[in-house]
Amino acid sequence: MSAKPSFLQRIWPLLPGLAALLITTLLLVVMGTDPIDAYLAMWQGAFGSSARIYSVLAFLVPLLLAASGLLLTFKAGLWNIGIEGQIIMGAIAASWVALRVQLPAGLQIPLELLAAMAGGAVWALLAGVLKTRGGVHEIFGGLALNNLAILFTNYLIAGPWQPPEGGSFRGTQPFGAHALLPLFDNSRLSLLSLALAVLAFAGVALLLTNSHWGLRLKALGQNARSAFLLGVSSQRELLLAMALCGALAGLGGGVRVLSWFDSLRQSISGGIGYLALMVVLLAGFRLVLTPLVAFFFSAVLNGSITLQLRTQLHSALGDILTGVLVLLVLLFGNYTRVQRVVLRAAQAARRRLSDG
Amino acid sequence: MQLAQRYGFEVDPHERIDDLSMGERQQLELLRLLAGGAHVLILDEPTTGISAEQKELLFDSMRTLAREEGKTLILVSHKLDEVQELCDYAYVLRKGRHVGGRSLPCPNPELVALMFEQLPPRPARRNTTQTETVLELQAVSVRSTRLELEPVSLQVQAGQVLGLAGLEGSGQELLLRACAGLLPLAAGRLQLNGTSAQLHWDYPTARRHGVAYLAAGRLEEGLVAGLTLTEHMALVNKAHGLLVDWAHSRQQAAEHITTYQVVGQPESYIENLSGGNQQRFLFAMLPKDLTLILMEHPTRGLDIRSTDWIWEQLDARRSTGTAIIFISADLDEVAARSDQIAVFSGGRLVRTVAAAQTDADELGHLIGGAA
Repeated sequence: MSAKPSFLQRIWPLLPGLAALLITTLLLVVMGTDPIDAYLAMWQGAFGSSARIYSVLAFLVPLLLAASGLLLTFKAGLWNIGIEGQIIMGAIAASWVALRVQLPAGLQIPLELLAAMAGGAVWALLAGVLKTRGGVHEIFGGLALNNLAILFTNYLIAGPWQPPEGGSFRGTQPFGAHALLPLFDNSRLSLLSLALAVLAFAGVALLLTNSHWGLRLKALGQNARSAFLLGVSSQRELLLAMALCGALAGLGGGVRVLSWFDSLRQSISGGIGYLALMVVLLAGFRLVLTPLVAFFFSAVLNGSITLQLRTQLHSALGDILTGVLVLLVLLFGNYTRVQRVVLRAAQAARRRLSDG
Repeated sequence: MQLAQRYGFEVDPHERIDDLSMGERQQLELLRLLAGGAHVLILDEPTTGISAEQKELLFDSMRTLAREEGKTLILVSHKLDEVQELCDYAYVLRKGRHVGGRSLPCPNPELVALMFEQLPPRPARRNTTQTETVLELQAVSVRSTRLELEPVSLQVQAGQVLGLAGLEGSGQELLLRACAGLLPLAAGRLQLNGTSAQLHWDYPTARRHGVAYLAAGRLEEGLVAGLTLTEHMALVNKAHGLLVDWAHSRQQAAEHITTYQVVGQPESYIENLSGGNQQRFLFAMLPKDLTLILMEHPTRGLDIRSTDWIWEQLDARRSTGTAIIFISADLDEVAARSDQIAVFSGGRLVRTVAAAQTDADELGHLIGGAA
């Protein structure tokens, strides 16, 4: 291959995006909706008013926190599927402080956020220790822990934390105003949480590009055996990466209960962890792309909620668009890989022709 | 089952593959090939890891196959006795070249001469005067899933070079890895520089005590593909503070590139360097004062220039008292570079000989299993 990328190679990353748009459009046409209308409704749903933009940003905060954490674990070669459970445990820990602890104003919220981070970190460490000590792959351990976290939430809502007027199985009673994050302009957005998310991402970026620890994670992710022989303590670094990722995810969960909602709800995360996995995959593990993709996801998903209200289309359209996009990028995003597969298929076809 | 009876194999068809011994698996594999109508069978070191009884059975069946059923059998082996016993003709390959052949049986020394040529004159080298024992093994045995190394006792002095010779997989790799702390000792004691034997011996401990280990697979065990030379430098440097001083690491990489004559740039990814340059860079990353260097095939796949350079480096290390243990499949290298040679065969340390008092003939015989 020539050193200078060809035109096709340069526009290649855009193609899966266009293809995903095409597929979604086809779907809309088949369902009898005007696609232009639908996309316009989606755009307005995301950016149509300042309130909508705040909502996009508010949804972005936990997504970006979790995605930042995942950048660390992916760098170390870990598939931290358990991130969903880590978000949930963060939410539970923050809720515990909000419901059970009364502190002076300046301490209440910091303690809630710290508890959220601790909750997520502990849940992530569990998956980490299962891997390093028990030999359980982090994907399986993580999935199991995700389910346990959901069950734990349901137990708390239906049992010890049920509202005094009786369990509704939907959520705890709303937290006191002093325990909630201050919201911006009557929206669900807490500026403090947005600042924390941006700070977290910047910190992760600094760690990954410029720290000794980030370099050790990179070496572990690329070749754990060599890294070990070069003196990297794999267990410690892997656990640390898990704990840090869990802390960020937990913080995201805390933000969910303390600003997006005002209480612990049944589906408190609602799949933000899995969404964050998709964000990082779609960004190809690249630092710069991660917040952009997270923002895009947040806009599409918020937009499609309005879409449903307006056009009677199910809001799953946003999920379909992002899901198809991730699949297409994973399949076709890597130009050289696609080229190789196509070449091999062409060779096989030629061989079959000459044989037959 | 009929086939199995014809050759006297006893393989239970209901057994799971995992539960069969190596020999039984081999019998099964032979039956599978014969049932498929194979006419030419190539057996690569077929007697490694099977019992003596199974070996007899195998040899009987091979004779039947060749003499009565007219099949063609090709045996690849280092074990001269087996070759003599079974084969009609032997082709000798050395360093990728066909160097001759003999009708069998023939006197063993003729084959050995073909296999190992004449040993080159030993390069002149300093004699070390130090007699301080660096490493002492007392009845050390090591176990892997495939092989058990029978108890080994030996001593290595400061500045001494111990070469481990033997057919690949004869136990020398196990010993080397056990010394590096990468495999646990099944039994016995290991003492480094008189450290207490109670010490829990693992790889990080070995590293702390000045032991370096260089594996055969440079990109699998040693270097990290996807990292640049500068990143490797930063990785092995003692971390000062949280952030990497990239300028310093880059400068260090550049210095090493010059001193160790590596063809590459600080920004080059390590996997894009040639094997010789990767090995040079691995040497560049070794800490300054080492007690013991353990190496698997240190010069395999390298050109003569890199090979000589590597041994110059090792000689320099030796003169400061570093002991060296290395494995090599190249008998010439073992004979020329070692002070002592330990010969392994079938999971056993057959004999330890002083390099100055041995020749290719003897080494070849020992490796072939004729103790």
